[in-house]
Amino acid sequence: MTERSSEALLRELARGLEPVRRIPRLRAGLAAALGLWLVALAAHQALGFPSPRLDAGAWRSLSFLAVLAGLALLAGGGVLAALAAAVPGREHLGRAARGGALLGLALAAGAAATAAGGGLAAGLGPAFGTSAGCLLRAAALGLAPALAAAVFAARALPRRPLLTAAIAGLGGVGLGALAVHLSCAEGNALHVLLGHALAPLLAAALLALPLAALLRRAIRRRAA
Amino acid sequence: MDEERERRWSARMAEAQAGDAASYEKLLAELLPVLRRFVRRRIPDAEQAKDVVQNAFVSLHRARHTYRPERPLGPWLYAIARNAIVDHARARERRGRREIPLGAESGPEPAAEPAAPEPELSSALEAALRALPPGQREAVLLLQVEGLSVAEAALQAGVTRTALKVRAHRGYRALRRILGAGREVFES
Repeated sequence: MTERSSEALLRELARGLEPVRRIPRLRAGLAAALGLWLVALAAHQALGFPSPRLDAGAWRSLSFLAVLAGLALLAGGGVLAALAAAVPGREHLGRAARGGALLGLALAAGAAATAAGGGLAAGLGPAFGTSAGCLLRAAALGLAPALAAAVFAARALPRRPLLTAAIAGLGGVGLGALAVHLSCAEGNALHVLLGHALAPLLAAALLALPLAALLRRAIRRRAA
Repeated sequence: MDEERERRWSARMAEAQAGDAASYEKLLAELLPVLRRFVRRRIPDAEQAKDVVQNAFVSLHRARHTYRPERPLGPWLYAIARNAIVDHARARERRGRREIPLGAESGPEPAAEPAAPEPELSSALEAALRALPPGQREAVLLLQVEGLSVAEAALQAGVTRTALKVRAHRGYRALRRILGAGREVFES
């Protein structure tokens, strides 16, 4: 590239310039992800799955609230981090949101693990079987927002496809797990740990590869 | 960052997004010396810096749809330039792993080398600056040698103002320690 002068390159870039469609604002991307989550939630309830619990007992439980707060932080931070990571100049926001998401994951998992106490190691195996339903529901509810975040990132300028995809999956399934945690009546701490608090981590691991493939395709298309 | 200049850049980029080639060419011409300075501070080798500047402009062209005119252009521009520098460093590293080093040509990674200090700096200060970690060195150079404000320096370094102040503070402390130790050695 050094053969031609930078000035000549700039003239070449400006020649035949075509109008482009701007990416939407980050808040529009965030609203799209949340909107799709609400649609998925409505569809989920229309299919007969339980509605959010409004009984006062759960809301008085400290571990329930800590897991809820952790999942909310994880979901919001994850989706926002995936969106911001693909927009040049928004790296601060992306880093802060990613930190918030990881803090949320630690809070949710830590609260559930603390509630499980001594039975943690022995009960994990059997609890995994009973938690699969909630885990799958969280993944199903989080698929649309995760996809929305990945599509936004693909339209912008994704740089680290696998990381962005994993964070989008984490945030999206975090939203799913938030809904599951609100609606699931099972109070067993190991179930909450595996089926609610760690669901985003497990589902994001599965979603990361297909979402990263989508982002890589967008990168290749733009470079062509 | 000069507000008037920032407004002009934003307006020109918005026009470029709408397909105005003349505005785009003017904008790119105005950005060229800015990006050259930015890259040369991080890559002392002139030829490599030129390559990186050109790559940064190609990236900017491809990424022009990601700019939102309601936001300042500076952070967007410097983020693209930083990415071009990182890509260059990674490409060099990959090539370095594949190639067999040949004597003098197998020097250290240029992007990781200390930025060329200004000629008026004394050799002791120059050596002390080279001994600083890259982030601290950059903060000190931006604030003290280039005379940028904290906000401008933070923008160019791609960190928050607080982070830049912390880096600069640590840099000054390290410089005092290094220069102080040097003096003691010379005196003894």
